[in-house]
Amino acid sequence: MESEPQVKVESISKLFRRNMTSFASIFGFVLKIPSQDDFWVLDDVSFTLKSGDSLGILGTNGSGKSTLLKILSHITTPTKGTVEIRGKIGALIEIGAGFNPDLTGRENIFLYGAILGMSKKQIREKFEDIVEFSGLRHMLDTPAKFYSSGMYLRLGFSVTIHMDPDILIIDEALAVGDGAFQEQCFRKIEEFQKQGKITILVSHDMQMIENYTTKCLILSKGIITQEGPTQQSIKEYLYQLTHLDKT
Amino acid sequence: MIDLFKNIVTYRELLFTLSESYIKARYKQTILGGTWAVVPPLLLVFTAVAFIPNLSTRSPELLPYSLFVFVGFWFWAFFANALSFAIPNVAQNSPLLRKVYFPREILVLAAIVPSILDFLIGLPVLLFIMFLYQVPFHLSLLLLPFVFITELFLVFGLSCAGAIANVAFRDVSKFLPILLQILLFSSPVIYALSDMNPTYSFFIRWNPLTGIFDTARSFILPRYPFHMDEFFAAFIISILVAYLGYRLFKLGERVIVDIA
Repeated sequence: MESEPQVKVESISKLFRRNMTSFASIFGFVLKIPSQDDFWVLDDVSFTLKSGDSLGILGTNGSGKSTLLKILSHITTPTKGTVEIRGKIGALIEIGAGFNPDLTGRENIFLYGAILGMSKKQIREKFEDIVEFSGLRHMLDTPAKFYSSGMYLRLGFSVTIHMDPDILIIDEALAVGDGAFQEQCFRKIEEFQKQGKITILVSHDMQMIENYTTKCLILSKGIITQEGPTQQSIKEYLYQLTHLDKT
Repeated sequence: MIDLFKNIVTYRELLFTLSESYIKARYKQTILGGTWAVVPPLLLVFTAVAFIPNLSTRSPELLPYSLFVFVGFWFWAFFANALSFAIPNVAQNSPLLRKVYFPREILVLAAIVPSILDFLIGLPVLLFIMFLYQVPFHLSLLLLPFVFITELFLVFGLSCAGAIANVAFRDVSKFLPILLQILLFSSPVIYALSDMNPTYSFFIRWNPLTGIFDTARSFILPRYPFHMDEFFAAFIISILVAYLGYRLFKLGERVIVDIA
């Protein structure tokens, strides 16, 4: 890597439309004709991450966390604002994404690696490490449709981490892994952070956020309501949660 | 257009892997397997020769007539099969699009590859028919790839535009089969250009398929005339369609996940 990884998000907003089923509403949306059903999933979100940063994103369901991650990982684009990213992104947004249930574990490693833009040669070189890390050697020749969600996660995470990303984005997914595998993943993530790479973590597991991120932002209805060191943010977030419950 | 080639190079492995899986899926659990690539056009050739009045009695440049018809169906099959598979393919993969990023045009390209393979399987059949009718092998046969590449550009552009439109409105893939039938009748697949209704000559002239089929025939049939202007028009239009189709695709790609 010639330059250090960097993420620069500048006042991005993302427009969604509630009922996109009719011709008129889809057409209107594409042509950016305003409608009553429009709402901003993300509203003027900005932040910058530098080499070695680890960011936690906190927020209730529907606060825009996943949309933000999808914009960061190029899956979708912001309606307004710009995202500038230096470095290779490895994103684990949904478990089982990119796997073909009819293919075996072995074939799926190659398929998923290819989706991530790895060459066959690169995958072959890393194959042993991927299998070793996933702990799924005994399942390699079984079609993926017989895998449990934990096994999907193991395979997905192993391939993602072995593509050697500069920026690692993880959404919730790790929650389905068992304790031992989570432990193993976090050792790898720590290793990453020491190498000066960037991690972005979304989780409802406050322990996880506390242990593996140094700063956090809280999203509420698409707006960053708080940004700061992890411990302080967690306190604020938990306060917001209980406060919301009472109203 | 440059990012297209860059993406193809970076994601070549994905392109290969996807194409391979489509090819495998295509002939899975069939008895004829890869032979399916040539059976339909051959049956159509047989039907056309048997049931449609033989046009070559009036125009000897169409001889041998079976070869004339085969070339038409061979190039037509590539066009029709590629579009039928590539246009619905992006919308069908919308769950994948929502979870991982990769250049979405790879889905269009990978869906065209199996039809390219089918086309190549037709090549020995062509040579066999030529051998059967004792048609001399001219050096002009070596020019066929130019005709094919022209058609490939056309198919790519139309697939891109159709695929992205189909993401927003599935009507596109519903309408596609009938559109293909309309084109089958209105392009010189079974007929020669000279046999077609001159009232619609405007459409026939500007339909790039006309130039593609006609030029291919002129390279294969011993007496079929070659019209440079016709091929040139088809080539320019195809390149234009490819460019505009791809641009439209890239524009639509930005909202694909929001509306798929």
